[in-house]
Amino acid sequence: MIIMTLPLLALQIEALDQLLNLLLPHANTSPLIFTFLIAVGLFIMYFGIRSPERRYGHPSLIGGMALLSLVKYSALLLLVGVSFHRVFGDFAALQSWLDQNPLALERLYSSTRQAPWHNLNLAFCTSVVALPHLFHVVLSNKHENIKTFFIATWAFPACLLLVAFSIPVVLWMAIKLDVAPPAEYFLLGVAQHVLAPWGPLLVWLMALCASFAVLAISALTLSIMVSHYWVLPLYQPTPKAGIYSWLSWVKRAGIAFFLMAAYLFFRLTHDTQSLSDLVMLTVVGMLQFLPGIVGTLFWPRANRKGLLFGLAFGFIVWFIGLLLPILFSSLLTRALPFGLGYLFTIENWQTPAFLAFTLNAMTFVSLSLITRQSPVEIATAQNCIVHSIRKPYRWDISWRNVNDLIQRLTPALGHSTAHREVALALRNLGFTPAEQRPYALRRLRDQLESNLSALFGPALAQRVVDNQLPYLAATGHAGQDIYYIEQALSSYETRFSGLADTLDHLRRFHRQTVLALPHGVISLSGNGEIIGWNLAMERLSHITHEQVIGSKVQDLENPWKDLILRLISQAQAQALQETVNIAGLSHCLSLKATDILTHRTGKALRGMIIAIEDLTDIKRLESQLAHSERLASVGKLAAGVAHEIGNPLTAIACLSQELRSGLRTAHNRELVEELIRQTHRIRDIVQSLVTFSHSGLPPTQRAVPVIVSTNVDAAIQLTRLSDAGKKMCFINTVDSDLWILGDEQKFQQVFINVLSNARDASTPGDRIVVSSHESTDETAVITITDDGHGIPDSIKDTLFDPFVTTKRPGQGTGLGLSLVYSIVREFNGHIYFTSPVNARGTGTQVKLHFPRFFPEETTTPDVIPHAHAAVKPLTATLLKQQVKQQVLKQPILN
Amino acid sequence: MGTILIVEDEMIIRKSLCRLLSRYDHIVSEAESVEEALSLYTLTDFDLILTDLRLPGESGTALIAPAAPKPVLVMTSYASLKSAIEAMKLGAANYIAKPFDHDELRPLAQTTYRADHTCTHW
Repeated sequence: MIIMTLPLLALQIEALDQLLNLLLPHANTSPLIFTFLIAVGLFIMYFGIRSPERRYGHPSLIGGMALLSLVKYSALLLLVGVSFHRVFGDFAALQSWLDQNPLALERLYSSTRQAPWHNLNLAFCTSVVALPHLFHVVLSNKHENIKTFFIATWAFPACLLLVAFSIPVVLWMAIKLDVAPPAEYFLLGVAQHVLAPWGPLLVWLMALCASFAVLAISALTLSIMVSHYWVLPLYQPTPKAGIYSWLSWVKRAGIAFFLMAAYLFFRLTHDTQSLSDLVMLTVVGMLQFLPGIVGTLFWPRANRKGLLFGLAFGFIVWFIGLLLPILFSSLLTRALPFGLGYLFTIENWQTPAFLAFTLNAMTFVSLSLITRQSPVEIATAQNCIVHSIRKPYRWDISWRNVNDLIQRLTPALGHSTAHREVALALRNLGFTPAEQRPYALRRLRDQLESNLSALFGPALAQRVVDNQLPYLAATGHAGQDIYYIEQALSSYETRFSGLADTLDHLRRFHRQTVLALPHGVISLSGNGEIIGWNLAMERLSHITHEQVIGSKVQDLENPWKDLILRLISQAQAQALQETVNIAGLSHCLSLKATDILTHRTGKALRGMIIAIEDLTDIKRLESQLAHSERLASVGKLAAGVAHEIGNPLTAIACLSQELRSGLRTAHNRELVEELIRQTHRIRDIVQSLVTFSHSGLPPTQRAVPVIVSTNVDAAIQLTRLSDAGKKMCFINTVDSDLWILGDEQKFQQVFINVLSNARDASTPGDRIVVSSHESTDETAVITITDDGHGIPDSIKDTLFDPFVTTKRPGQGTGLGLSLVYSIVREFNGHIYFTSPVNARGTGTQVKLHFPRFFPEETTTPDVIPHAHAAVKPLTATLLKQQVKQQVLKQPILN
Repeated sequence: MGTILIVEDEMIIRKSLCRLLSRYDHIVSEAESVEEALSLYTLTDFDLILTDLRLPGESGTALIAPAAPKPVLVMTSYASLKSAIEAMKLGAANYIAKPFDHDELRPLAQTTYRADHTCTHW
């Protein structure tokens, strides 16, 4: 490789030298050339040796190169354009000139016929890829941005084509002007003729730029290659010495060495060979790498043996057939008898070139086909194939976190280097140092290896990483890292076509299906790593997939860890229903797990899919529905009972009253009075029952605006009438602007019931606070809070059922809250209970929600819908509030 | 004072009502269903018709039309309060909820038919 490149470098120097000679025929060019080389060397040593922080591409180096290229191409185009204009005028003139001088065209074709021109064409096009300086530029920038890499693949040849177009033009101009210098310097000749004096200078400047760039990058590339593949594997500095500066010095020495070697080669061939011979030499040499490069990039079957043997054959033929003749042509022709020497003349270059290339390619292909690849080679081949996705496997790793990783790298790299490298890799990947996910740690390992190989070369980097960070011996078959593949595929976006495009569509569709499922879906790999976490799961858990994918189930936060581990450990029935606390809210979750077995290339991959359904809302609605159904049926029963009791009760009442009027003794009258009082009591109960069931009461015909504050005041006054009520401290802080729609009397009944429950639960001197501070623009929220004994757990679920009470018989019927419930629902309200509410574990808070009314509204609805007909479905806001306060359905204890 | 027809299926209540109203010098007739009332009496002969709402067979409100212009006072149990209001809409002069106090019923009955009298004489 190095030997093959030398002619190219020499060629650059040669060209400069010749140009100088042509411009200044009598000057001694050697010192100038030497100075130029030193300048190149210093430039590249300063800018080219990268600092460890900026590994890929030094901006000033790339900038310099870009400037040089720009100067070169614009100078060329300018020159060709201007001289074309001066010599021919326009294309018509050119055409007529060509018609008059068929010889010119003939010459163009004849040279093509003489040499196997198409061979040379092929060689030029393809060896471009293999030239070390171009290879370096292309590949070192590839990492940064895959897009620029793809642009370069077409833009670069396009530039070359542009340059090639101008060549026949220059050729014809030279013929017309009949310039003196050899063909390689036609441009200069033309420039001297037409554009003197600045034309030749421009040509020289152009050549200077071109050779500067080529020399600089080639020397840099070669020195990096040598230091990575030769020096480092043979000798490694101790970790404690600064690796970075040591590396820089190795590379600088390499650059100096190569520039010197190029100069020597130039002196050696200086007087004997023409420019085109040197170019040919390099091109044919580089051509030998073509099968290898194309094969490794695009042909997964290519293997090392084929590559090496092919290269060896090609190189030998090149050496004997081309290099030797060029260096020692005169010697060989003389030494060999029988005209054999003719074979080794440079005029006959195409035979050995063709032979070398064919032999190389055939050896490469056939050996690759015959021999078998090692697994390492297969993996490496996968990585090299540009259009295939890397398929990393989920090997188990032994390091648990980033610090662990640094510790392990320290023996090989030294502490500070290890620190810096890991920090860099973390930055490249966008991970934080707190990373613990196996997926991330594996990616980190890969990134480290790739970063280190930019520093030391792949061979050493791989050795370091393999020794310091070995994967655990795989216990089972390691699954592919689906998540990584997925991400890589997504980055290809629209670059698929044909069947791949269809498959990609299909993949996206399935992926989208899983992602958008309304139920949470978690995919687990065989070794318990999370490889899937869909959108519903993110919403449910408030954990994004970036946070969680690639980690072990054991590293999850609770309650997920416990839930999933419990689910997995269940041997048979893989289903679980559980109420858990997520971010402070209670959720009822249903989990189901399914084993999955995928068969791929004969191996079975185990995994598991867990579907999680949030049943919280459903459960709540179910229980609400059940509750209202229960109340409705109780209401029907109550109505029936009321009616059936009505007649016998009336009879008893009538008879008792008759009896009373006939009795004379005070004692007997007293007894009958009691009888009548008891019938009244029964009547009251029946009345409450009927009110509750609504079957006997007329619906409210008109809902009118009611000022809550005033209504509450009235209710407080009524509640205070009782002896116990006088000892309580009622505080009404309800906003005086709070209006609701309904029936004043019925609302008063609601407040009286709730307030008297609070009163009865409290001890004398307690505060009972009514406030409205939680109200929103849509909802009036009235809270009644007491510090009383609270609601016993035993009745929390049946609070609104009739006849549920904590009061002693005779003190309350247990119908109060049933009545409250009915009224609240009649006016589209909701009622919620919380108990206990204070730190002592006592107290009750009642919340009443009503649609808020604003008196500015001109139209008041005439008829409010009947309660049973128009109970609005629970709104989302209400549901949320309900969850927040862990609603207790509780009746008031009348 | 006046003539009153009591239509009530519950015998005990009916008898009790008879005794109560007779004591206050009303002339009381009785029937246990709408059908019987219509077949035995000419409704317009009475000053007031006191009827239960829920009766075997036709509802008490069926008496309102035949009795017109004489007032019909409807007795209801709580469970059918809603239908009592319906009855008022159909033309019942007034209603009273069962069970009732005698002291409540008597004046109501009197005012009802007196008011009615004044009305008819307009």
